[in-house]
Amino acid sequence: MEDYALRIIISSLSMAAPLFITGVGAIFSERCGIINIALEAMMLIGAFAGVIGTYYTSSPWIGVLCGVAAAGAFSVIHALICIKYKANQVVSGVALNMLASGLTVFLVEIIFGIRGTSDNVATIPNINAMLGFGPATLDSFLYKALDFSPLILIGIAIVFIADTVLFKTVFGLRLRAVGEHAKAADTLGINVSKMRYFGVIISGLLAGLAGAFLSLSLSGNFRKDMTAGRGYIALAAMIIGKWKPVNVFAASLFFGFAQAAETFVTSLVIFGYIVPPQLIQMLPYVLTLVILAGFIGRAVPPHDLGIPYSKEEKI
Amino acid sequence: MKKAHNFNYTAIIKTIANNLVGSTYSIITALTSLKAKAALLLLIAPLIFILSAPVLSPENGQEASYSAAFAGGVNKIVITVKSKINSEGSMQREVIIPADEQIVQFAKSEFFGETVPQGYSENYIGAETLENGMVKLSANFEDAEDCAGVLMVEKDLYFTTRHQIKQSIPQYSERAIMDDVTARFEFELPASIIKIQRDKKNLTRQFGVLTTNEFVLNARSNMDLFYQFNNYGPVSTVFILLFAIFAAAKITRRFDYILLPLLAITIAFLFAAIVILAIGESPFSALGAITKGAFGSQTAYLNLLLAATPLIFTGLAVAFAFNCGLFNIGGESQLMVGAFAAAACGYYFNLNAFIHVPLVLLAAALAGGLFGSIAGWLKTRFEIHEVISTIMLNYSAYALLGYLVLLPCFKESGPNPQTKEILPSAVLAPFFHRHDLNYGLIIALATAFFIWFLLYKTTVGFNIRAVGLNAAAAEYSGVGVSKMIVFTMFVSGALAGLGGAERVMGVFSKYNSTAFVGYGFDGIAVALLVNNNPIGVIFSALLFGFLKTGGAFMNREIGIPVELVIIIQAIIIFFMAADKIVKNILKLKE
Repeated sequence: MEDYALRIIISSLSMAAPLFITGVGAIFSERCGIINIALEAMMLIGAFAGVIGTYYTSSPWIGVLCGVAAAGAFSVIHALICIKYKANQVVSGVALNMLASGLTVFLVEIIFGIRGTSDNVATIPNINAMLGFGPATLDSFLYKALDFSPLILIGIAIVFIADTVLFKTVFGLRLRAVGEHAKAADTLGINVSKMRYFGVIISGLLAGLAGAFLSLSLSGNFRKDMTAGRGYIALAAMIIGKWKPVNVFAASLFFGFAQAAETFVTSLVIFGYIVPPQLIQMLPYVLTLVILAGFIGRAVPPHDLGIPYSKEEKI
Repeated sequence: MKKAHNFNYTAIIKTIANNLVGSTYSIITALTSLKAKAALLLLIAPLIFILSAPVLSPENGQEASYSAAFAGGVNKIVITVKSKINSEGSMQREVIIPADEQIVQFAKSEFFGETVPQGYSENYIGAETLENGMVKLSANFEDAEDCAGVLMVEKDLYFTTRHQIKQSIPQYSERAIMDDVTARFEFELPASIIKIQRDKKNLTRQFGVLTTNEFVLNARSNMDLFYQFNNYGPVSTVFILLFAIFAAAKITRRFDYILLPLLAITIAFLFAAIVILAIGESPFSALGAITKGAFGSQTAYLNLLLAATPLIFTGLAVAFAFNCGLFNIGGESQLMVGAFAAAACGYYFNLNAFIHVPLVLLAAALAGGLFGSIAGWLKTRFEIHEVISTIMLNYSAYALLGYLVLLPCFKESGPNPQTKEILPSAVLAPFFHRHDLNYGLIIALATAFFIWFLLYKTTVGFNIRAVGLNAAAAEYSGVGVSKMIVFTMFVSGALAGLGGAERVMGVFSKYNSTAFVGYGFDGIAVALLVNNNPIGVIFSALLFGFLKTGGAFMNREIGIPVELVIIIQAIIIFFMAADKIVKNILKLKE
C-alpha cells in the first residue's frame, strides 16, 4: 500500500512537472502583458532540441541546455513580433504553434530518416541512480522514494524562485507594472519593451525546460506532437492559479494527479456510475472555464494583457 | 548530355489546357480585386503561358513494366511489376517475386497497399507459385485508386521504390541509364546489385555512365533539370501570377488586400526555398513537384479542389467571427462536432435523399453552431476571452467526441475509433465517377457568397461589423452587442460544422477520430491571408489546397517531408499578422 501511494505521488509529480514549469514561465509572459498561447510550440521545440543535443553530444544534460536555449531563441520570434511589430499576439501564437509542429516533424524526418519519431537517446538518470543506489538496494524505501528525475526538483525550486522574483524584487514589480498599466510604468521610467522581452523570453526558456523534461526524462525520444496539449493545460493551470506561481504549482499538481490516476485506476466509480476516462481528460479544460466564469473565485488577468504598447499613441 | 525534343501533340494541347486553367484563375483574381488597368496587365500572362507550352512534360504512359532487383546483403532479389490501367479506371497489377515470406510481405504492402481496401475480401491478392522458385501476386482493382501508389505511374513508382531502399539501406548508390525507349535504373549496394529496368515510351533523357559514388549526385542534378523542364508550364504559371499581381498591386496601391498577402506568400516561399537548400535538395524541383502535383493532371486539379473545399468552410468561419472582432480558434472542434452530428444523422435517419441531405447538413450546422455559441455566451455572460474559451472547448470536444464515438450505438470496429457508415441517401453526390470531389464544393462557394451578402448587404451584417470595429460605439448606437456576439459565434460554428458535414457526406462516409484534424487551424491561415474577406477566402482556400495537394505529391516524388507546407503556412500567417515588417521592407508609410 505504501509502495502504491509512493508510486502515485511520484507519477503525479512527473505528470505535473512539465505543466508547472511551463505555467510558471507563462506567468512571466502574461504578467508583463504578452499573451502566450505558443507555450505548446516552445515546449515542442524544447523537447526536440533536447533530443537533438543529446543525440549529437550523448550527454542529456547538454541536451537539456540545448532545449532551453532553443525554446528561448524561438520565443524571441514571438517577442519581436508582439513587442516590436505590435502584431496580434494570439495570431502570432497560433502561427508559432503551427510552425513548431511542422518544423520539428520536418527536421526529425530529415535527421533520422523516419517519419514522426526520433531515435532513442540517453535520458537523464533519476536521482536514485545519480546517488549510486545499485540493484542491491532495489527494495529499499529510499530507492523507491528517490525514483524520479532531478528536473522535477529544479522545477519546484523554480516555482519558489519565480514567486520571490515576481513579488519580492524590483524586477518583479516592474514586470507586473508593465503588464498592469504600461503607460504608467513608462512614465515612471521603466523600459516597457525591455521588460516585455524579458517576460516572453523567460517563458520560452522555462517552456523549453519542460519540453526537455518530456523528451529526456519521460520518453527518451521525440515523437510528433508529443506535448499533446500540455501547453494548453499549462495555460489552464496558469489561469486557475490566477497568475501566481505557487497557485499554479498547486493546480498543476491536481492535473498531474488526474493524469497519473488515469494510469493507476482503470475505471473510476462514483455513486455506482463508471466515469469514462475521456470525461476525466476534459476536467482541466472545463474547470478552467468554470473558474474563469467566476464560480470558484474570480480570475482577473493583468489589465494591459494583449495590448501592444507604443509611446506615441494616446490611451 | 543529349536532350531530345519529342513533340507530342496531345501533350501540347494538354499543357495549353493546363495553363489556361491557371490563367483563368489569375484573370478571376484580377477581376474580383482590381481595376480594369490591372486586369489588362494580367491578360498578358496567359499569352506567356501558352508560349511556354512547347517545353513539355513527357506523357505519362498508361502501361508500365519494371523489373527490380535488390539485395539484402547476400541474395539478389528480382521484382517485376506490371500494371495496366483500363480506360474506365479499373486496374490490373501483377508482381513477380522470389518465394520468400519477407519479400512477399514487402511486395504486398509496397505494390498492393498496406491495408485491405474497402469492399475487398481479405484474400484479394492472388498468389501463384511459378516453376523457377518465384511467386506471382496479382490483383484486380475495380478502381485504380484502391491500389497503393497507382496514381503514380511508372516514374513515380520508381521514386517510391528508391525512397524505400534509401530508407532501409543508407549506403546504397544508384545508376540510371535511359534512352529514347527504355529507362534502366541500377541500384548498387555494398553486397550486390539492385537493378530496376523500365520500359518507357516518352522519356527522352540520357545519362552518362559514371562511377557509382559520383553518380548519386549526378543523377540527382540531372533529375532536377528533368523536373524543371517537366514543370516549366506550371512553374511559370505560379511565377507569372505572382509577378502580375505584384505589378497590379503597385499600380492600384492596395496594400492590405493584394500586396501584403502576396509578399507574405513570397517570403514564405523564399524561406521554404532556403530550408530546402539547407537539406541539400533543389528548391526548383520541389516547387516543380508541388505545382505538378496540383496542376499536373485532371486528377491533380480535382484533388486541389477537394482539399480546398473544407478550407473554404473553416476559413469562412474564422473570417466571419473576425468581422465581429472575435478570434475563433475553435474551428477545429466545431468542425468535428459538426462531422459527428452529420455521421450520426446520416446513419440514423432513413429518408429520401432530397430530404436526408439537407437534414444532415442542417444537423451539422446546428451542432457546430451551438457548440460555437457556447464561446459567445461565455464571453457575453462571464467576460471570458473567446481565445481562451475556444481553446478549452477544443480540448473538451476532443475528449467528449472520443467518448461518444465509442458508445455502442455509434461505434463500428476498425483500426481507429469510428462511427458506422452513413446511408447512401445522405451522401453528397460526386461530380465524377472516380473522384471524391462532390457538390459540397458548390455549397461552399454558395456559402461564401451568402456570407459576403450577409456581412456587407444586410443590417445584421452592418451591426456585426460595427461591433467588430468598436463594440462600445455600437452599443451606444443601439446595437445589441451581446446578441450579436452570440449570433456571430453561432454562425461561425455552423460554418465550421458544415465543413465537417462535407467531409463526412462526400469523402469519409463516417466520423473517425483522426481524419478531421487540422482543417480548423488551416482555416485561420486561410482567413488571415485575405484579411477576412468572404470572397477572398475562396481564393485563399484554393492556394492552401494547392499547397496541400502539391505538398503530398512532392513528398512522394522527391522525399521532402510534407510538413514543409505547414511551415509555409505558418510563415504566411506571421507576415500577415506582422504587417509592419513588410511595410518596413517596402519603406511604406502607414
